[in-house]
Amino acid sequence: MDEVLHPIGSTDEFPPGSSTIVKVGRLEIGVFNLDGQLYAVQNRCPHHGGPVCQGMWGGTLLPSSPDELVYGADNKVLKCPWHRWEFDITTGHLLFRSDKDLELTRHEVEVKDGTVAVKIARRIAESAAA
Amino acid sequence: MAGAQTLVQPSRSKADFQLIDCDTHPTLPTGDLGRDLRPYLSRGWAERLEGESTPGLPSGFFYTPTGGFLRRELIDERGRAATDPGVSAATLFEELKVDRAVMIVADAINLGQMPDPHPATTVAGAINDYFIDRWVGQDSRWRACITIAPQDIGWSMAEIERLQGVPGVVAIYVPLNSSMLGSKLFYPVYEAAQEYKLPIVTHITLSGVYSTGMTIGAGPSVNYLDYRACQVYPHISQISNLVCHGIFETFPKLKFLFAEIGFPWLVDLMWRIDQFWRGLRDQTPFLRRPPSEYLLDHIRVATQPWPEPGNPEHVGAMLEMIEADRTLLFATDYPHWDSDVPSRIAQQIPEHMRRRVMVENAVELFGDRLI
Repeated sequence: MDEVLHPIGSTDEFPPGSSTIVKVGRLEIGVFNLDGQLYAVQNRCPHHGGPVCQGMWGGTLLPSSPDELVYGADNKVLKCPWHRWEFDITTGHLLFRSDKDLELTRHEVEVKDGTVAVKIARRIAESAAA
Repeated sequence: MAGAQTLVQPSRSKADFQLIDCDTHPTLPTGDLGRDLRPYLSRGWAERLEGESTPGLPSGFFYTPTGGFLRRELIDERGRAATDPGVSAATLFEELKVDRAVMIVADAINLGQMPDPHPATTVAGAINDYFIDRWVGQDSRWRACITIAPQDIGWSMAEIERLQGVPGVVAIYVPLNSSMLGSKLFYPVYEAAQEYKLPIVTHITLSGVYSTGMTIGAGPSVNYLDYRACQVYPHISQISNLVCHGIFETFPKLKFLFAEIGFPWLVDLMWRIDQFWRGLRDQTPFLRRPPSEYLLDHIRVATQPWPEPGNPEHVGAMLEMIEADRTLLFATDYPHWDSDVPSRIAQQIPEHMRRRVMVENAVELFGDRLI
């Protein structure tokens, strides 16, 4: 796929702990700053197409024995607001099952000279500029 | 007040309809009954109901996920959704292209579990007036149910009489409680429903929590997953109760819509009830036909929640088994958190059944009042 790095703003606009939805044409991307590291995923849940990036962002309860509950994955988990499916924002993986068809679409993030850019399809970047 | 306004009906025939939604949940603005329903209550009742709400989940009973049952993007600053008819109309009628939406008022869902018939009937009546006035009155694409109170059948009869002729009313809504639907206590309601050609609508309720409500089964649910897995059981029991009392022989024109319990459970019930009837026919000699036929003739079910099995072809098989082309009605369950998007549901229904489910079964059930 022909992709380009598309600038979406300065690093000041995506401070640590922030979650922001940016629009590039019709594409919506959620940008999350997890302890200084930026992650970008498409704002579209693979389940029913819901606005996954508007869901709760935090930790979750990890697999454990029935006798104990273990909280973890701090700020790595996004819960889709429609049906609460949980995704790891750092990998895009669905938590309840390993399934390539049900992963969040991730966008590579590059930070250079104070500017944040995400890798997106060229045609989307071009139609947004038009 | 209800009945006072003239509705302007959009001029179209049912052939123009593309989508009927048989389960939406308009909601009172704050949930404080005295405040929200004030114009529709006497002064005494407005004072008595100040700060009161209809039964809901008590605290400490399994936390509700994602902040509740609502799609988060629809939640307003008060933490509620579907409180504004204009906003809801924009979503349902404009965005999702629903032609008619049947309202099952959120605040009335558990009304049957109020132990005191006085506030129950007062609230039911005021809710009927409020939503006919402010929702149907604002947009003639909304359709209302007459919420009755199983705690007081006499009042319920009068309420049906009062509202059955009001434009926009399409059904009688019974908020289920521990009363069994096959009981003779309900006969006057069924007589009226039959006479006025109004279907009876029920909805999934809070169960297994209050003694006034239905039990879940063996015992209380341990957590929300357990609850969602088992919450259909008391409704299956109610449906079996209707058939086994011979309600559909006594009231051959009566029809029920059981909303928000989905439909795969119907396959097991049909097979099981027929299987045992073959040897137990003399227990129910008033059933002239196999019990499953009464189910398919008189019980309607809604698409929500749409099943998600591993193999989607299995859903198609189930749709054939339950004769979905006559029994199944589309529903969004707007604005609840797992509400179904029309296009995604439609594409999973075999083409020869699709329009039946998305439009025609609702037109058949609700009749001309829907149009």
